[in-house]
Amino acid sequence: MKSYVAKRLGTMVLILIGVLVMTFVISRVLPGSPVEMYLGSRPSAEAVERVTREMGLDRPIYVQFVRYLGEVVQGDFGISLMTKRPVLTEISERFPATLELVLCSVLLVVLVGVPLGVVAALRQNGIVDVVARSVSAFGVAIPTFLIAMMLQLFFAGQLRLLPLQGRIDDLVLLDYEFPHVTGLYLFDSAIAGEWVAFGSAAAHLVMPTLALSLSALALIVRITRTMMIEALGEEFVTTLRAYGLSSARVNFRYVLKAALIPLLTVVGMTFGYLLGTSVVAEYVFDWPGIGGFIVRAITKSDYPSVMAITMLLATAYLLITFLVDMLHFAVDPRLRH
Amino acid sequence: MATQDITPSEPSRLATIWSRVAGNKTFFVGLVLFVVILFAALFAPLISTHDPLKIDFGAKLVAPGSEHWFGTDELGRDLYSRVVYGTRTSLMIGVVVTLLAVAIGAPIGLIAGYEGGRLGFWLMRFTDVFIAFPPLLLPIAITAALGQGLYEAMLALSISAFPWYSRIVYSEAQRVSKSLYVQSARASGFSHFRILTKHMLPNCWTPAITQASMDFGYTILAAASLSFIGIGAKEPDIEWGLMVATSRTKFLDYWWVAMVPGLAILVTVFALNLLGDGVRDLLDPKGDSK
Repeated sequence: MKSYVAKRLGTMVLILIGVLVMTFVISRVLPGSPVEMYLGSRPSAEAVERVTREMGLDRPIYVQFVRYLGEVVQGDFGISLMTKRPVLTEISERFPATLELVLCSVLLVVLVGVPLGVVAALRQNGIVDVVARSVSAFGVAIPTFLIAMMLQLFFAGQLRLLPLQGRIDDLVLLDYEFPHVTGLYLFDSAIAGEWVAFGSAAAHLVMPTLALSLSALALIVRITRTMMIEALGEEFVTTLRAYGLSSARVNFRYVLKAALIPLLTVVGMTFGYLLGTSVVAEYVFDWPGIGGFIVRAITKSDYPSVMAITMLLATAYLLITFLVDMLHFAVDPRLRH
Repeated sequence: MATQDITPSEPSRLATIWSRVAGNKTFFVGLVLFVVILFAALFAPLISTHDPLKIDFGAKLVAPGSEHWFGTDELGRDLYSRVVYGTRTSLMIGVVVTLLAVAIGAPIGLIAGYEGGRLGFWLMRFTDVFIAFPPLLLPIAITAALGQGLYEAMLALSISAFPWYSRIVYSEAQRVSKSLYVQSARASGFSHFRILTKHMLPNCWTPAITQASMDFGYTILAAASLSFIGIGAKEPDIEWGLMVATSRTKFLDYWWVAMVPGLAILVTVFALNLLGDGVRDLLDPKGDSK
């Protein structure tokens, strides 16, 4: 156990260093030097020389890298060229919005996708199976931005049922103020008892969550179904049936358990997957998270922000994978041998 | 004569493949759709009704009808013709990105699996770094560095996709490098290059081809997403994701401007996915079929 954890941890640290090297390299091959970006167009030669020295760009590349590492470890990601505020402040203000959206989507994907996949596998070629397979074929092929805009067209444009975009009604936010404890509006407004604000936040969440979830849902349904079918074909199932156990007991007590363990990994991957695709969903719905921010940062050439978000999301992704692996290890006794 | 060199088993093998293709309904549907899309791409000038780039302010935002089958966009450009020409861009993206990803990824996996040891370990850790990013994020960061444009986005997508091919080829190469024929080739003193290309590669690439055919649709989808958020294709490129993006301010009142190119992506990716699943079933009959 210990050696496995240590090995896994070691690999993760290695990859994390690799990620840092990569963001460092990317930030050094950017079009236009950071100095020019800092000084604006047509700086004087003296100013360029001074800033180059201040930024440490006249030092050897490995010295620059060590300095970069030091800054990153201290949480210093520089100043956003777009907003002129520290990048870390920008990110920490926006991350809860992204987290709220991604968490809601993970819940939806797991609570709908897994049961759908299980039922589809138990009743192959039944109605649920046909629905599940259609949803997954459709969901994998549709671009997130298209389903997002279809939802907007229907629920906001035609029915005028849901708000077109944004995270909460600005007026509601002013009238029904609630303390931002966690930054997750649903949670914060609920514990403050501000139900009007809660309603507004929930209504704003519906379309982004649906749009973000669909492709992940498609994948989860498909994978759950396959794993369940695989587990149903195992020899122990035949044995249990031969012992005369009811098929409900076999299916839900044993097969489901065998199928769910590998699914843990998949759920972890879903989380990371959604962090990535949230960029598109946030962009369409003008969601004030880091995904929408990174898109604007790119188009405004705000490279410190782009690199910091990339690095943080990659780190989060690595950590999630690591935790899921550990969990997998803890619940699956076969891995211990 | 060359034709007489064909072994007698050849026709029967073709027949088996054909019977498998015809027996696989989803693959058949995918194949038919793909042929239609390929036809549109090859013969775009013949089957389009208008010049896809011609701006006509007199006919802007015209609803689908007899003159403009799929309507026109806010510059009065014919959407049907633009969708037809867009097949070229999307298929080109899919082919180039996939080939490039395989070209970078496969040799790394092959060498890592063949050599093993420390070199293999570090080569694979190198590829792991590229997989450590959530999807779309690495292409976004790379495009930020390379500059924004269709070719930059394509290169970025290849760089993000290659590690998967390294991994697949690596696990195959590990197995094959232990096989007797590779061991004896090594013992006979063949050059590494010859062993890698003549003995290892032909026995390693089936899973890579399967993966490539299944990734094809996703690649087009990802490229469209990059164009949509404004860091991929740029006007006057005719790219479906870009077409949807430019419609954003208008689509609530003129739905077709967004939905026509959007559905073109959906249908194309759908067809390619069916095709990819079919290719997997054909090449790897043991794999799960659904």
